[in-house]
Amino acid sequence: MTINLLLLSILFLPLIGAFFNGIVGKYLSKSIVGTIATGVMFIAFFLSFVLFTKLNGPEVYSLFSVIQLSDFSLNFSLQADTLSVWMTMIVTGVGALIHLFSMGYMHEDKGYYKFFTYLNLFVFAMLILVLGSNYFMLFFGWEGVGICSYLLIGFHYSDEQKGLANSLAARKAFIMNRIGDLGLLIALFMILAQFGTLEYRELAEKMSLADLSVSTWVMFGITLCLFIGATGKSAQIPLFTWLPDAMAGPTPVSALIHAATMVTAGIFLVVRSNFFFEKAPHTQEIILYIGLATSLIAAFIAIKQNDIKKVLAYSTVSQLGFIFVSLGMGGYVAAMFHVSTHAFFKALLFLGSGSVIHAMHHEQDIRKMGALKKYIPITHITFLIGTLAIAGFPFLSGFFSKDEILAHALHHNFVIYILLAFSAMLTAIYMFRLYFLVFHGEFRGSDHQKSHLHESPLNMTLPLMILAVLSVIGGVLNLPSLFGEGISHWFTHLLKQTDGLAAVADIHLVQSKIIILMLTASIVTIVALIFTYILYVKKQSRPVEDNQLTGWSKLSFNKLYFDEIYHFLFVKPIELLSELTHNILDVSILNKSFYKVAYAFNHSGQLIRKWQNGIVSSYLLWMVIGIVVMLFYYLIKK
Amino acid sequence: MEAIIILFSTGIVSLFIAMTRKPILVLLTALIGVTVTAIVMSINWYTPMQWVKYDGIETDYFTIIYGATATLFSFLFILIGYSKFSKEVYHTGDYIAILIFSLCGALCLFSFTDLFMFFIGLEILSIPMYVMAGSNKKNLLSSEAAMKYFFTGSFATGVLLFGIACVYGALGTFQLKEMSEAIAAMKNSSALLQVGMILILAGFLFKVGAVPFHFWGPDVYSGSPNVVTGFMATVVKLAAFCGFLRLFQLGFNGLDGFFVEILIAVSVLTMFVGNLSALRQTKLKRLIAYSSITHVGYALICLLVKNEHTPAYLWTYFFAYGFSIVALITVSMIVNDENDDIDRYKAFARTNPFAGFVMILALLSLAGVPPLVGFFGKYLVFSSAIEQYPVLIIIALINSGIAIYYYLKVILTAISKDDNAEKSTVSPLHAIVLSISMFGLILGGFVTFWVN
Repeated sequence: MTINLLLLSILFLPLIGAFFNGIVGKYLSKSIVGTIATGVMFIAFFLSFVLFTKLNGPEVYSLFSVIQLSDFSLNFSLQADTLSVWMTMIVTGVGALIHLFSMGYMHEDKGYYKFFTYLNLFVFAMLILVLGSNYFMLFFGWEGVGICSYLLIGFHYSDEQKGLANSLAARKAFIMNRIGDLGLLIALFMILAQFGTLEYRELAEKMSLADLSVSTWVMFGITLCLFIGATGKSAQIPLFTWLPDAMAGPTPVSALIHAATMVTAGIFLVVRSNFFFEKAPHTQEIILYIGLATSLIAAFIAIKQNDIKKVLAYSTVSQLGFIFVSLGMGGYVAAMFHVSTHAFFKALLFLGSGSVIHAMHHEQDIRKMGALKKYIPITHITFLIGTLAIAGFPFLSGFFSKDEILAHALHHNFVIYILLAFSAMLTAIYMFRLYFLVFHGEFRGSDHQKSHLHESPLNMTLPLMILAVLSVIGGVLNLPSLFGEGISHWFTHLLKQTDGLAAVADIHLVQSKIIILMLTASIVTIVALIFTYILYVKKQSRPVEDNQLTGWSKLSFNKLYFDEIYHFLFVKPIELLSELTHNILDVSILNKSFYKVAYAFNHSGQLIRKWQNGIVSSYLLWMVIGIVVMLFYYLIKK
Repeated sequence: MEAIIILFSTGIVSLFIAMTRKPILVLLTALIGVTVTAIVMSINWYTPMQWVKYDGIETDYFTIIYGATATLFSFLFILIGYSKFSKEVYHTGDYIAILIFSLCGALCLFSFTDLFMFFIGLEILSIPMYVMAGSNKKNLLSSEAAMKYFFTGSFATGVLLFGIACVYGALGTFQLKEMSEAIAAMKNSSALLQVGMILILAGFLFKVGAVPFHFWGPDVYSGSPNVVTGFMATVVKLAAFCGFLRLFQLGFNGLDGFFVEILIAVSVLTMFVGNLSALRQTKLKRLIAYSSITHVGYALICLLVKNEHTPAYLWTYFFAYGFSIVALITVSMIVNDENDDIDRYKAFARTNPFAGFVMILALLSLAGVPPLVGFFGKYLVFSSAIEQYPVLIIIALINSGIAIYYYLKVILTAISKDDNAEKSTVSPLHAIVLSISMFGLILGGFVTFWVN
């Protein structure tokens, strides 16, 4: 198969699956629907792997032109380079495993076929996003994943108890994303106005020219607007509050969309646009500090959350912030490396939590869990691996990817390094807290729940095991130079083949510094592990009831009151304004005047109708008057 | 000329066929005759026929397009009316023949070259209508309509004839060509000519039913049998418009701008009076009457902009308008209610989905909703005049807005729920006509582009 054909099949297989299940899925049995949806994903992953092996330098494949004008055109075209194909492999690979998991998880759901339709459609949109060769395609996919995310967050909109909350969460995600989308759109128009094209390759070429005649302010504007778009999708301050609420969706959705793939779209955008960001140091500073703040704040909030999925959600926000710090320092490869490993272990953790929730009959409160390691051993082991990986336990995948970012920070600024390391420690603390509370201690749920505890079926545990293996060995993708020239930095060499990234300078630390870094990171993680073990296993410390919290824990539990502040700052004033315009502009002025106009016409109609009195002589009289007036007019005119 | 002769013979023959007392034979004769007429006319498009020579008649492309349109609508109205006509076995032939004679007059008006033929054509067009308006002899309103139409019509004819006399007095010729040559040769404007032209204009405004010469319209339209109403609103109006357009373009060629102020004033008045009066109507045919007055107001805008496209735009407008009227009249024949109350159409679209659908299409097309054919008619007329008379077009657009109210009112009545509503029977002929008008309403826009 040629590369073009591979690209097309990878892109359209999920779409075909979505169409098939959307149209006839209603009449088919659940196993057929699930097999088709999952099958297309596995085939797509296999084809992406083939594509990856065949890849030989960047290639653009243009299908057709959407808008063709004299000075620019918008093309529906695909680009195969190491970055896009790597992302495609993550999306289809992790996606395929999550599809498989969903077949078991969603088995009792009425909207089974609908769920897989949306899920396949999401993958299609995400593939458009990563495979497109220009910003137009990116925007198309960007909006596509947005709408699928909306549909899937509110998937249980008709649930009796939580239906309304689910719908509100979906709406919130959509609106928050729209704010970011506006930024992205403005950036696109600015790029188009400045460079006259949206194609990545042409832009990269133009940006690499020595005599670049673009003012710093324009670059600042473009990159800032791009970054605003990224904050929306990738849940950064100030647009991050939708992601924790998005956990209202089914757990596989949280794993696929809100952890592994869609939320990394913002990072992908920045990496794709590296040639812009490299020329805009101010924006890079902004990204750095926003990422750092997000990472710390989200980690702080995660410490006192009691909903298993909320903890993971804030952890995702925190990790994304971590990655943005790396982007802010120009560490694009490190960022993509962490995106990849994060996709493995965060998908694993979410699916693991899904397995837990499945076993607990849709209970998500960790205060009602405990001692689950006896009942669901496979979930327990895999979840433990995920926890260790994200906490940065030595030689697991998270350890290496985090270390790379920390190395960048150390190279950049010591204070930032300390803060990042602190954030990493917080990560380890809340993750071990979650792990110990769920799997150790005594069971705190109801007897009914206890009697039904069971391990999930194979189609749910198999993805867990595969992801667990990946989470363990993911680090070998990009080993530090410490391990020898031959096997280290494979991922770096790979990504350097992408436009623009070759020009970004590598950082080189001396061996001793690398060893110190790794030692510090290991010590931090192990200290956090021991600390939480003493606190939650030895001392049997348990989260208290919601209303007994005090001090910083109350602040953490209430998410630093972000929602309330936003409500007061933005929602309230807008509501007041719309109330005002409704009362004054709409009801008093517009409505009344419309009624008046309508009344005037209607009334004059009533009057004018009487002119038609049915008497022939009066008709004739009017005709004569008409003729006389016409004649008279011409008499005067003369 | 050949077409007129064939058509006229068809009328005579159907009168004789009627003596067999078999309505279906009369219908077939009439339809075949009308079809042959249309074919003969179409042949003229490629090779002008010269079998019969007469100076008063000259066939050009617009004659053929207008003639074909008028013939098509007459064909449809004969089909629609057949269910009514055939009930009176003794008079079936009369009705059909009279309609055909009226069509003869219309064909004269599409092709005349002198004032003599113009007047004859106008009268052949009108006099059958006086008769047909009163053809429902048992109905008092029908007789009243015929009388009113006749009184006011003869008055208008008098005015028109007097105008023609004045023009002849000023120019000394009946020939259109010689008239425009004489006007071009004149040094000072002649008062006699101007008075004559104004009187002719008054006659024209009466024939098409523009304010303040419109009063006969609503009474006659609502009193006449449905088919006659439809025929008057489409064929007669089309013929009158075309006849006077021909007269003003060919005969009074040199006097561009003479009528402009009057036409603007009349157009604005006509739109408003027609629309505002229609707002509160409760009977469908009266509503059609007022809406047709409004449409005359729009169509008058066409006459303001004189260029080579004017006849085409005018044709488009009436082509579009005609299909709506055909559909609405068919629906009113299906419902067949003496009182003709709009309330009678309650739930019509639910009991008769197809007929109701076409009815809604027809009303939307009248309102000018794209992509129906009515939109194209309005669009062409308005866009042709927007540069020269922007204020007038804004007024016309406001009126289009007002008009939507009463069209929608009928649509809402037709789709509202009513458990007691009965299904009306749709005869095969009506179903055929409805299908034809549906195609016309939906696809007509493309035909107009092709013709233009």
